[in-house]
Amino acid sequence: MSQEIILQGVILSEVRYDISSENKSSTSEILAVEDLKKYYPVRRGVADLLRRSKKVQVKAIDGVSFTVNEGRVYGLVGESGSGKTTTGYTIMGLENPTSGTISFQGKTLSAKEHKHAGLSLKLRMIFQNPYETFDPRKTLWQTFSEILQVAGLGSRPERRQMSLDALSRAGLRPAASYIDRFPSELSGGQLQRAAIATALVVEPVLLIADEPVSMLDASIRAGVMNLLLNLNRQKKMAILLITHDLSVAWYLCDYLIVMYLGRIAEKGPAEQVLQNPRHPYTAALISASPMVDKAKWNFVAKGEVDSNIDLPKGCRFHPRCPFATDICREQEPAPEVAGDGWSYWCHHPLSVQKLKN
Amino acid sequence: MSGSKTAIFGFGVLLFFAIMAVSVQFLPVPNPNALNFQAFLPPSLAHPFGTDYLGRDVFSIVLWGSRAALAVGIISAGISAVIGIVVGAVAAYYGGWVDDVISRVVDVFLMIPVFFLILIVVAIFGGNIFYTMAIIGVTIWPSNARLMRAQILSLKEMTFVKALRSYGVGGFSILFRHLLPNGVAPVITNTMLQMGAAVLIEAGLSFLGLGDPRVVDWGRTIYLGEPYIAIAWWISTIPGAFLALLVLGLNLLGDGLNQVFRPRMRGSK
Amino acid sequence: MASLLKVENLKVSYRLRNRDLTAVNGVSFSVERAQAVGLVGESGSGKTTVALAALRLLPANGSVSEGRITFDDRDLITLPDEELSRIRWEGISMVPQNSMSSLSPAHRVRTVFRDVLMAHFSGSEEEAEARISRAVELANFPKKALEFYPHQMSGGMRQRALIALSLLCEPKLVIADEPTTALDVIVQRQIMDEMRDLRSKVEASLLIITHDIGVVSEYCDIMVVMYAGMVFEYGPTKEVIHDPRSPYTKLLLKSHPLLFDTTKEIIEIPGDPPELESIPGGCPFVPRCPYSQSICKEAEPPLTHVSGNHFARCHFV
Repeated sequence: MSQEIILQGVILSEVRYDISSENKSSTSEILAVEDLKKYYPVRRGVADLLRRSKKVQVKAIDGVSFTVNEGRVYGLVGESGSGKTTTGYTIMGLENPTSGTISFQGKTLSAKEHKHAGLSLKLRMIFQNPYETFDPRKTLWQTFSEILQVAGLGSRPERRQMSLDALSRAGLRPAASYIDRFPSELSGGQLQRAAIATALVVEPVLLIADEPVSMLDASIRAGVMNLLLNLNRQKKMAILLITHDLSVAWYLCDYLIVMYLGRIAEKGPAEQVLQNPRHPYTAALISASPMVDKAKWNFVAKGEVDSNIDLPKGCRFHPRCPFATDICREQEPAPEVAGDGWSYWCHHPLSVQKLKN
Repeated sequence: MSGSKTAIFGFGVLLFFAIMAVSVQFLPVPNPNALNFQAFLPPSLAHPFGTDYLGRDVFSIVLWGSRAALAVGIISAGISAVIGIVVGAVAAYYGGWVDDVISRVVDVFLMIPVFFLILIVVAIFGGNIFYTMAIIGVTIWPSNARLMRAQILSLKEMTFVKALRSYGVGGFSILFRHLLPNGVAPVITNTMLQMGAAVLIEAGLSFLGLGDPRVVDWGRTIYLGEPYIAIAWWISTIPGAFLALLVLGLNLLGDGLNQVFRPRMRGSK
Repeated sequence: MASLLKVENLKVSYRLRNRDLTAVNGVSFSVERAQAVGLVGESGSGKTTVALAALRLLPANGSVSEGRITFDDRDLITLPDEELSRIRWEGISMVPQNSMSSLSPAHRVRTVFRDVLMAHFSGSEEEAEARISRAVELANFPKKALEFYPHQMSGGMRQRALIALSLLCEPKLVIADEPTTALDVIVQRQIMDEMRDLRSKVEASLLIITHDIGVVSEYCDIMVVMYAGMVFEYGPTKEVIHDPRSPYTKLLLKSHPLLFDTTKEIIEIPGDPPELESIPGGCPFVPRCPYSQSICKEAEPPLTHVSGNHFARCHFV
């Protein structure tokens, strides 16, 4: 409550940090990502070594901070090269961060911590390509059994029952007719449901979903999206949804984190950010979405995403931004607060008027 | 279609020799080492493949010789497969300096003229068939290692490996329980081809007089019959034909399996 | 005037080891001059097979078993090979989906343009150069990038190169197979806008094959909804989007999430898209249709006239 009063008061300019954890119906914070960086070395040829050229790096994530609260759905959105998937992998421990910290339920996760099986009970991930999520030579039951065994849960008959329950909750009913099948015997939609079931079987606190519907046929996307939403509502499972599709984000997310070239461009409550974006990049993504009001959303960004190796100086979006001025080309924007839990990184933030012109 | 037919034919040949090797002791054939008969008898009802220069029954030699041939093929190729699979898989999965070291070792082995290395070793340690099998096995594994490495390199980028890691499954388990079974098919194929090669190498050693004198062996029979080829063609030619048939069968089985496995790999993707 | 491209009762089947699979089952539609038509469907709907049949590029085990495809009143199925090869590029050209594998990695883009022109154009050097300039300008492809190799270009640039290439011989019809699926959303929008603008500059018709209802709804005059190898709905795009008559189209639109849709409600279609091996008799949508009645299992519904140029396939239109 006290934070709210401060926010509505005069010292707004001092609140320059993410305040999503202090929003109205406050729930507890489960994940905090702070100044996360992930650089990949670019493998160089002999010629580069001889020329003694500078060490080249791909900056996939370059200083990303955000928090995730219990039971909420967060959307990590952006184009290719934004670092959204790498962020998901790093939280999951599938990549080691170059620097920065990830804390989950108050504990800072080290590389060792990530390998500890106990964590996999609370933090799970599903992947973009359902056709490759399962070992093609193992039946669903063999995969589920292994998951539970690694987690140290249940006797054999108990594990079987837990797996059947999870498949059934993921919408594969009757589960008994699916559990002994090989992945090649299931359709794309069924596989993605089975993948969600591999997470459900341990009832995690946070599910990272990397483009969960982008490879599915149009007619089965809605089913998988509704399933995720129901899990969030009924089981209070927080979801970090990684997507390029704002219409999916609009439908599922409470909060949005818009990323561009390894940095956050804007983050805040989903509806506010989408209806009244402050960062030109957010507006460009909205304008590119199908069937939006073209009279209002006519903001087509120029060109394509720059390379992660030769990053633009200053604001990373400036080569594509029509509002770019000298300051954008030279100075990286500092975070500004737009509202409750809503911040953006732009020298020339949009207002509604600017959009209409 | 043609792949499975080829494989079935090759398998039939292998089965024929396997039955021969297993059942030969129960067959009413003379002792292959017994010098009971007249030398240089041409093929007849009593001696279907004739007799050799010491009066031994060539039919019996051919039957008993299948044991040595198959043993050499299976054990040598088996050793090669085990070493190749483990070394290749470990190199690919762990990458980095492990891969660099292993790959250089493999390169060195691929540069060595294997047959001459074996020749030297056998010349030093004598023609014991078990040494021969072991030395063949430990010199021909690099091609298996390369195949396995390539397979694991592409498989480990697949999503299911990330998924398994996210469940908390350990690296050793992912490699040996998930990646190996998915990638081993080409190695099995190559192992069939290597069985044929191993049989030929051993026969070659015997033909050069470096065989194991205690073992009834096609290569040595060919070697010992060679001086008499003009007056008794059957001594060398018939064991030679059987040797060729076995190697052909193994190669067809390998090629056939290669074609059979390929669509399954595509389907799994 | 007759339609530019006319597909009539087209049936295409693929021969497998022991049986035939019908991928396209009696499809009819037409593309008029200077019109954009969108062929929309899920995997297995047969949309790509229709395009391949029109260009006579079906794989070796596929064949047209029934029906006609006419282009400018010439029957594409029976046309001799030499005449067909002239129609390709000069009459109909294609923008493929995968821009990386559609350009030779070992050649500069200019070389590819030259090769196509050499085969189809007999004018002078200057005229050829003028054609290339015009095509790259239309497609918004930077002229200096003609000297690039495919790997030196971004995905959007490669797609623009392919669009320029498809315009090189001034075709009357451009078939685009999922032209923007592999690209980032903003670049998708740029390229689709450019393709729309193109139509006011050149007199070419456009046939877009896509799984994305969004693309069709914004860029096509006519939309053809395919399911299980059949046309389920056909009509002016606005009319189909606002008043869909076949249950499949209705549900597909309701299952599509829309940005700024205030209800935030999407309806899921049960089941999976049909597999070619097991398309049920009667109406192929029956297993997934909430409105189905006993007649739907027994009889295949006809494509019924709704109004004007709007048709829908259902017993209860």
